[in-house]
Amino acid sequence: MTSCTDANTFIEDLAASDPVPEGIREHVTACPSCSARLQLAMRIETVLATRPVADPPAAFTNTVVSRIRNERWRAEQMLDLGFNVFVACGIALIAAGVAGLVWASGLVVFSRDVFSVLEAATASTLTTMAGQARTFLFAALLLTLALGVWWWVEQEDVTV
Amino acid sequence: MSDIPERQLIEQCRHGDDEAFRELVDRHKRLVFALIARSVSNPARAEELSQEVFLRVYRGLPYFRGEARLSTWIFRIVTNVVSEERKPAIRPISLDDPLPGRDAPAIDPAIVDRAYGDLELRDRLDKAIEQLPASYRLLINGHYLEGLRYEDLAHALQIPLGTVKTHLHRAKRLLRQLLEQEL
Repeated sequence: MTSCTDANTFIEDLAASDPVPEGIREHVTACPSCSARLQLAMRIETVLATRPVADPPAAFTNTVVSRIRNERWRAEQMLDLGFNVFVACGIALIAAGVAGLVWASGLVVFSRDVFSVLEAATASTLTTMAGQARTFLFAALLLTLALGVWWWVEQEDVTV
Repeated sequence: MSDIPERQLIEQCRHGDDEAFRELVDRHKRLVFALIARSVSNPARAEELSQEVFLRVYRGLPYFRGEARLSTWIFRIVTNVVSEERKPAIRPISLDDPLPGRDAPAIDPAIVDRAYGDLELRDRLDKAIEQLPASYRLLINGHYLEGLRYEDLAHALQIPLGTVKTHLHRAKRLLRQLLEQEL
């Protein structure tokens, strides 16, 4: 004889109209408690099947693609930075090597007089340039502004 | 949406074609968002997590071998994202806990009739779903979404296909018994 405990195992199968062992359906029909369980299970089935489906926002795809472009740009920036650091280290190594060779060859002693001449020439040039300091400062500001605008435009391109 | 075959779409995405990836997102965003929105109560957070899914899809595309359908792989990612996000405020029922059905007292049909209007049932059901173990929650949340197949659920949860229906029934039984315990 089928018990309520046995029938309880197959309530969801009945609610989903799946086959159940012999005697279960008859027991559930005749037993008020099991019948109530089946009613609840069927209502649960209905509620689950009719739960609202949330739609993504209209701009979802654009936002995702934008984030990916941003991520890709940052990755390229890191790669560029790494490459530049590597090149700078290489140049520094080469320069140190050349300086070491020059030092070892004794050219420094000979070059001391050359340095004195260069120093005097530089001082003379700087004195002349001082008179045009404002022009040079303005040119430097313009160049910095142009570079800043270019960098800002690049940023805008990435985030669009 | 265009009719580009899935394999061709994936290849185009791998070659950096943003329009192809846009097409891929458009094909899958509705199911991804619907599933995540059912798993996370905050709509803004659901949107963030949905975006995260597609970011992971983009990063993982070079390594996608194509042995399974793309949708199946995407739903595996959805499962991982939802699992990482959720820290339940209440202890979920363990799969090792014995089902209360064996010693469950008989329920009064009259109480059931009076207790639940549809709206109240929906609300109580949502709370009961929160108490389910993660795999059962995914089954319940995903089962009734059009376009999500048993194969996708099986792969997402890494269980055999034949086990999906069994686990789904068990999940629904747990839900019913949670609601019965409130009576």
